[in-house]
Amino acid sequence: MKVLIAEDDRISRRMLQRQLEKWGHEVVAAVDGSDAWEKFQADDFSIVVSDWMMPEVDGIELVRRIRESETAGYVFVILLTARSKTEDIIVGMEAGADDFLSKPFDQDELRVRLRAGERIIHLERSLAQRNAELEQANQRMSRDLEAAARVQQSLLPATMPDIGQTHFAWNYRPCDELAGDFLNVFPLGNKHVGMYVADVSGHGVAASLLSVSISRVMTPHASASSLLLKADLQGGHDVASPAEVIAELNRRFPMEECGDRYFTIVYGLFDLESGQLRYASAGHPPVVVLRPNQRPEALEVASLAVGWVPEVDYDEHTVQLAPGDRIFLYTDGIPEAMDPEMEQFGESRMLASIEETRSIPLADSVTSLVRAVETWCSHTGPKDDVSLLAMQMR
Amino acid sequence: MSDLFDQAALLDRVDHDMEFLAETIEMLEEDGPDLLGQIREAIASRDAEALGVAAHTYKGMVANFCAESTVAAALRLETLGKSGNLADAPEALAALEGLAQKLAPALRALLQDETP
Repeated sequence: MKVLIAEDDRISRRMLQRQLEKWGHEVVAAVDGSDAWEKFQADDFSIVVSDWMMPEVDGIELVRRIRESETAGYVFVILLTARSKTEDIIVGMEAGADDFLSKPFDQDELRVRLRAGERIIHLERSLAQRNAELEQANQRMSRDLEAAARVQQSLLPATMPDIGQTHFAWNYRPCDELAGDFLNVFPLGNKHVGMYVADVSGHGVAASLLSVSISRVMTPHASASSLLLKADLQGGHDVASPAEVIAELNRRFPMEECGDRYFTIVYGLFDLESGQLRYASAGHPPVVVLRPNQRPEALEVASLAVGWVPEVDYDEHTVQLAPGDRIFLYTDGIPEAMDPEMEQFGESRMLASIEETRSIPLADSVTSLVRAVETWCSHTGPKDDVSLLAMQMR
Repeated sequence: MSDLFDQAALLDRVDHDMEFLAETIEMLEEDGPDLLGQIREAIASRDAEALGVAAHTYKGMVANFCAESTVAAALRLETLGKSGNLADAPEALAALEGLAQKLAPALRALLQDETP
């Protein structure tokens, strides 16, 4: 160990230095407190053995300066003193001394006190090394999470398919780096727009990985893996019905094969020619419809989440939309957001926000609702992902 | 055998290293008179605080030689200095000087006896 000794009596200093060097320590000797402070700043010491009473900078002041300085590792400080009163010990310890040794020092006592100091230094170094390793691992995981979050973000709608008489807006707020929520909207063939909002149970890596898997089969691009398009006899593709899509999801993602995770989803298929929205839901919160001059209406659907029970038939529902109508698909992160008193934001506040913002642009209405949810749980922060997809017929 | 210091404890303290003991005795011979001079001057100028500090340093120095009676004499002066009452200081100084005068020669004698 590298030891700094501060002692203004040169015989005591010499004796201490000799003893420490005999035990294999690398010793730097300072002739008083000021000299010790200069030497301390210029080098790295693990242990300081200092006389208490010294002119100008005494042992107490030296310890205070050491404790206030920024050192790479812990410095174990032993004060040499003839003082043994409790109040003296308290003064020394409050200044930052770790141990005391009476003068003239006894070799055996010095040896055991130094050994105690060495144990502390070794423990501190080992702890510092572990912390550095943990920090590295943490940084690596953070980078991985950020990369994964970017991948997840890339699955969100890149542009809004304002096709024909439709207009869309969405908002997506994961509560952690990685979300269990995901949503998308896309043209499907020439006559349809597909849209979905889904919520995998839990958050984090496992939930996000499952969300990526689901996104891959919910692709509007014709491929063997897409559930949304079916090959027809003429070599083209038919659009699968929402009920068929949800039932197929339920077949492909049973809970036991998904790490005991399940998900809720609402999938809608809007017919650009008829203005009809067909949709199916698997355990998802109700779709909300807002028609001009009417109160918003939550279309309740009783159904099971995907993954719970094999071979379930899902009902398909149809809503006829007219110009000016708005529909809202969302996850339970909105109605179930909690304030500090554990009161939920609730469906009624959600519907009120949708109604109050009916005359402003759809994107602003969506933002306004998400902000209301954030304000509701601003003290505790959102505990669930918040996702919202809205469509308006022009 | 001197009654000025504990010979066995001192030899243990320096691990019977006579060369090192000689080095420290030399330091005592050099620094001791200076410190005694500071003590004398503090008493003459009735500077109780300076007396306390100098006597404390002297005490620490001679303690290294396991010289109990000299340590006690220095402690008495340190205590007087800290109390601020210097009435008995000249007498205590005389006692310390008497012991100090004999200590270094006694240590030299030990050195001579123990050096092979």
